[in-house]
Amino acid sequence: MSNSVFLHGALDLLILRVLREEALHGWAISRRIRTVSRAALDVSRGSLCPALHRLERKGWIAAEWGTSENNRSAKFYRLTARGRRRLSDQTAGWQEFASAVHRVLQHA
Amino acid sequence: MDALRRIALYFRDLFGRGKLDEDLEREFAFHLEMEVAEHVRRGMSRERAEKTARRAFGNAHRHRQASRDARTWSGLERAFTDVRHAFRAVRRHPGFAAAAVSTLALGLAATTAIFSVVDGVLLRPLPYPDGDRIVRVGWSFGTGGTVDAVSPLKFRHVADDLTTIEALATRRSVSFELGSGPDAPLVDGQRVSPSFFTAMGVAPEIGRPFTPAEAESGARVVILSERVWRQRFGGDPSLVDRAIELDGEPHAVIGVMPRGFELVDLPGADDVLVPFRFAPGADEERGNNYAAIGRLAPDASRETAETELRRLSSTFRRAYPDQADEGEGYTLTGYLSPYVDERVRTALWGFLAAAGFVLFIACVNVISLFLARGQVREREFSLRAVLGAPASRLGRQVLTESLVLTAIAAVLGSALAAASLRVFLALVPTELPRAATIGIDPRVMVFCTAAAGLTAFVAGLPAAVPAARARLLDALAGGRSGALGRRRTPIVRRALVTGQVATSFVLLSGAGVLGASLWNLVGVDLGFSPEGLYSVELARTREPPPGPLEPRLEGELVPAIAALPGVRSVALSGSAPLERGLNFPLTVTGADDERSLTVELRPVSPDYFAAVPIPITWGRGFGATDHEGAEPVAIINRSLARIAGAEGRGATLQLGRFRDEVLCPACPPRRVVGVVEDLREISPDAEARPTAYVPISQAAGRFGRYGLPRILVRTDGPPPSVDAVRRAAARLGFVRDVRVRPATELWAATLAVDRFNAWLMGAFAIVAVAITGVGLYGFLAYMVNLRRREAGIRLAVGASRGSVARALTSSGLGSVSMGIVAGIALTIVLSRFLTSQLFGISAVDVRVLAGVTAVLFVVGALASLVPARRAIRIDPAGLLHED
Repeated sequence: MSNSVFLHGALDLLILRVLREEALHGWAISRRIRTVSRAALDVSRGSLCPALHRLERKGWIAAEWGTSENNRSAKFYRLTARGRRRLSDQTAGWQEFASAVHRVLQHA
Repeated sequence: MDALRRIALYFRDLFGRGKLDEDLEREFAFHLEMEVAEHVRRGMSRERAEKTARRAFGNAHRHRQASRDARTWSGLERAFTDVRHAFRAVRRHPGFAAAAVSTLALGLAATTAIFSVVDGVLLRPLPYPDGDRIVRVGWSFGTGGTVDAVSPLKFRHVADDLTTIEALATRRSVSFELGSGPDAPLVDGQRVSPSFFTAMGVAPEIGRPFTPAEAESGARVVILSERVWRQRFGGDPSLVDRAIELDGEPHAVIGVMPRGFELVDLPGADDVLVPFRFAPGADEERGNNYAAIGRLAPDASRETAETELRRLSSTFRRAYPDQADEGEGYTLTGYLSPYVDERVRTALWGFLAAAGFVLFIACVNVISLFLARGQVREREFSLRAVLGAPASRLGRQVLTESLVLTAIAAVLGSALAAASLRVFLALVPTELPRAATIGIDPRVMVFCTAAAGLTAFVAGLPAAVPAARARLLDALAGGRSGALGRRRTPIVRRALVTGQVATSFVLLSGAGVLGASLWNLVGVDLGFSPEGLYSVELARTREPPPGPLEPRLEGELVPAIAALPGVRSVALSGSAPLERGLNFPLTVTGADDERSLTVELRPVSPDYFAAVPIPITWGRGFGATDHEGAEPVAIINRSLARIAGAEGRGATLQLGRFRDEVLCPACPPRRVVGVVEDLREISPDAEARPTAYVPISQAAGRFGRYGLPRILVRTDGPPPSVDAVRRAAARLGFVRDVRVRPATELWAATLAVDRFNAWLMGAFAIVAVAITGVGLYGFLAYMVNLRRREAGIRLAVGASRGSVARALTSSGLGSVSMGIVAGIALTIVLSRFLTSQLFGISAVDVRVLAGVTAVLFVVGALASLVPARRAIRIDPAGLLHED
């Protein structure tokens, strides 16, 4: 929870990254983020949906209805080619940003 | 590809809204289910799982809104929703809506109506290409004033040499009988020089303009206006190159002007155009009677043209020293300038400002209405804020409501303005140029829309801000903390009320001084009594019999009228008192020396001095001995006698002689045989001008071209019978029509402008004070309501009801006092704009200020009556039980 202030800007990036591996539905995305970050990043389920819709409109992810693992109909999202390009751009930028912040914190 | 995708999205967002919302719900539901399933799997009870899941989900409504906001049309959707809500709010509170709309409509109507006049007369570009480059050349007599015309010699002097002004043209009004026969209609037109078309920038639509050769030779050609061509000749295109009859003479039609062409300064006098040339020997003419209109050269400006005219003025003075003195010279003005003098301009802008003040006052009332309602809706807004509405959304909704109400008010206001505009223009006493085309045209509508938009913003903003900042805690606590209640000093509302009072003060003070000025004018001693005096105006037939007509009038008509019952005396006069006489130059040779000046010249019959009446202070009046062949005599008034010296005794007048110029070679020198009292014969606010009277029988025919003289009739009271006069006049054979005007009507006409100004400003002031009074009442009621717990406690501990009421209403009256002080300051600052319209009183008059202060205090006291009574009736016990 204390990380939430940093999380907001990076949410898009995290979603794209998660979807690079496989197409998932919304809930699964948030669970994946939580799991991989060892529960440090806990996205409130509700705020994930608007973020997903926003990314969908931008054309970076695409959605279609399918069936979930427990036989419910759910909306699955997958990364598009443009999304893939966006992901690599943003990742590079994020890494630059993070090391810059790190440098300042270390040496200022 | 991307564009296609974007378009596809637009369509989906527009038409697939329902489906999108459905999808959203399904997705939300899915999330929740998965979450619940997860918790249940971990061992939570179903119930707890659901609660936990919902909490983790967050504010569902906010997320839903966030998703929706990302869609394309969301902005527009929000706007529509706001408008829908606004309409619903209007329907739910019809009283509030009616109050707001009517107040705003009144303010907008006044502002729009006045603006349409200001725009139509002052701001609108002339209907000619680059109309602001059309200029007039006139003449200034130094201290003697200016005229917007020149003499033929002055015209010629500049016409050829000017480089900064092109196509200098002149024109004279003329009227013709169109066709032949006794019923031939009269048309009014202009004689114009050929360069007129270039100067105005308009050429005939069909045919061609005059050539210089045609003008020089005096060719009988004519150009028709489109209206005459269409109405009288059926728009026949073959009319060009044919001839029509003007005054019985065939004139070849060589062109037709474009549709809608008009001379804005001479409406209706542009039906036909014929060529103009100066008559041979015109250079001898000294009178400045010819308009000189031209167009600034492409590379010239008003400044460069004025410089060149100054140079040409000095060359003229050098070349013709007897025609111009030092200090005289050419002047340059715009095309319409002679018709829109300083006084009219100031009055128009002044009324626009006054209307703006009324609108401001109306706005303030609406702001108060909004603020009052905003408090009622505080809970609603706070709850909505908690539920996820962003602050800007709530503020925007209040603004939208304001916009909707103002839009309705603007529609009503423009309709009201359009309806009242015609009435307004009919009441305006002066001839406003271009008045015929003043109306609610697109330019005015743009102004009205802009004014309405600004009003909506100004009216809604003060209420939108607190709406946006609504906090839940405030709403639940009911705005109270502590026993006395949070003493909220509503600074905004107090400032607004103060502003209203100050603005009303200015308007009232303006109306007061204008009214006082009018009162002064009415009370001016004219020197004669207009009641019982009547002016009979005679219209001459087209073809008068030859010879002077005045002797026949004197010999036949005057005795006939004198014989009518109730008539005491009858006289002839070139013009009636309170009408201008002839502006005539003369030289008076008195005891000391001779002086040249221009005077009012009035040819009168012997009974004139008895009829008006004017006391004779020296010498005698005119009599039967002063006829055509007898010694030329004159009578002067006291002002002229003073100038002549020795009170005019023994003086001689040389009419038509101005220093060394002799403008009237045939005018004989006249011996002054009498001196009469001064009259304010021109208008109440003009000092008596030096006046010379000559016997009308000795001036017979010479002044004939100014029309038939007036017949002045003094009766015992009622006017002479029009029919009897008409019958007597018909017997003469050269009188077409007769009109009887009481001198009181002439007198009222001179006061017409001042009366109009006073009434209009008074109307504005009354409306302003009424709206302010209502606003004051609302403010005071609000204050009483606000502090009623405090009042209850005071009463409970024993304060008298009177002191409580005073305490509650004091802040309101304090605002009134501050407003009055501000109003006095504002009046002093704005006073100089009013001075030109006033007579006998300054714009800042202590009596008026005191009076206005009293009025506003009374209004304040009245407004506080009901709230004070309510305050007195407060029941302390009931108050404490309120929460």
